Amino acid sequence: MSDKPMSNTAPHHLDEDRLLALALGMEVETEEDSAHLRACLSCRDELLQERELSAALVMMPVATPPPDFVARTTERFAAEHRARSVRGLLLAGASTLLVGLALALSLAWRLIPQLGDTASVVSAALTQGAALVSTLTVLASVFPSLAACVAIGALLTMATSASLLTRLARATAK
Amino acid sequence: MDLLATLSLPFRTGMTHTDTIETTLIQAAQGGDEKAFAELVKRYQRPVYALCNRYLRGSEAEDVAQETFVKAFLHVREIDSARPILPWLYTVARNLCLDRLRRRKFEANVEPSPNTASAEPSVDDAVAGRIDLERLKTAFAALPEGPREALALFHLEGMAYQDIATTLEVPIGTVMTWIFRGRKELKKALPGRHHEER
Repeated sequence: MSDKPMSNTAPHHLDEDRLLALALGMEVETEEDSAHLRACLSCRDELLQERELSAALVMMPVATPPPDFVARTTERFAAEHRARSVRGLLLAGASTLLVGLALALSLAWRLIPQLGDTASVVSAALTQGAALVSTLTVLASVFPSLAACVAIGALLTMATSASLLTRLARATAK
Repeated sequence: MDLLATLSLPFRTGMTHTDTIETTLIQAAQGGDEKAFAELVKRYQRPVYALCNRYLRGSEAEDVAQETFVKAFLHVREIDSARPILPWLYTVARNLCLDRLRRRKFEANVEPSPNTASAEPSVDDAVAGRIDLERLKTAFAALPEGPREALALFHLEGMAYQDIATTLEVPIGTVMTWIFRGRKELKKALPGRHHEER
C-alpha cells in the first residue's frame, strides 16, 4: 500500500488488527476511527481492501454434496449397523458356549474324579477363553478400531497362554 | 444493495448447543434408526462435505464425508449435549481426512476438488468485477492447512473463533494468527494493490 501524507487529524495509521476487526464487524468504529479514516487515504484503502476480501471469501465456490449423498450415507450406516449387530451376536454366542463348556467340564471333573488334572486344565482354559471373548466383546463395542482390539486381544491371549502353560506344567509335574 | 455494508456479520455469536430434538435423533441413530440418522446427515451434510473437499478430491472426499457420519453417530457412545455438534463433526471429518492424507503420503495442500466446479456461487457483480474469484480460489487452496481451514470456517461457515479453536484443536490465539496471516496472503490475490507493509 502506498504511504500517503498524513493530515494533522490523522497522526498515526490504524493498526492492522484494528482494521481487520472493523472490516469483520467485530468492533465498532469509534468517532476517532471515523475521523482518521476520513483523513487517511491509506487506512481507508486498507479497510476497503479487507472488506473486499471478506466479500470475495464469502462468494468463493463451495463444494456441494451430490443429491444422493444422504441416501448413500444412510445405506452405509445401515450396513455397518447390521455388521456390528452380527459381530456382537457371534461374540456373545461364542462367549456363552465357552462358559457353558467350562461349567460342564468343571462339574464333570467334580463328579468323575478319575478325570483328574486334565479336566481341570481344560476347564480353566475354557473359562479363560470365555473371559477373553467377553472382554473382546466389550472392547469391540467401546473401541471400534480393529487394530486396537487386535492389539489388546493379542496381549490378553499371551497372558492367558502363559497362565495355562503354568497350570499344565504343574499338572504334568504331579 | 451495497454488499460491503452487509459484512458486519452479526451472526458470528458462536454455534448453538445441541438441542433436545438433536439429542433424541443422535440416540435413535446410535440404536440403528435409519430415519434419525438420515435426518442428522441432512442437517450437516453441506458443511462436512465442503470440509472434506478442501482436503481430498472428488470420490475420496465423499467417502470420508460418509465415513464421518457413520463413525460419528454409530461408534461414539455418548455425545456431550452441552457442546455444539458441528465443531465436533468437523473435528471427526478433519481427523479422518488427515489420516487418509498421511496414509497416502499426500501433502496437505491438495488441488481443489473437481466437485467445486459444480458448486453454485452467489456472485455479487460489484465485487466479482473487481476480484478474480478463480485467482483467489487458487491462492486459498495454496494456503497451509491451518490458515486455510481457519479462514474457511470463519468466512464460509460463520463460526466464532472459540468454535474454530475447538474444531482445529488449537488455542484461540493460533486461530487469530492463522486468520490474520491467511488474509494477508490472500490480499495479494486482490487486484490493483501494492501490498506494501504498513
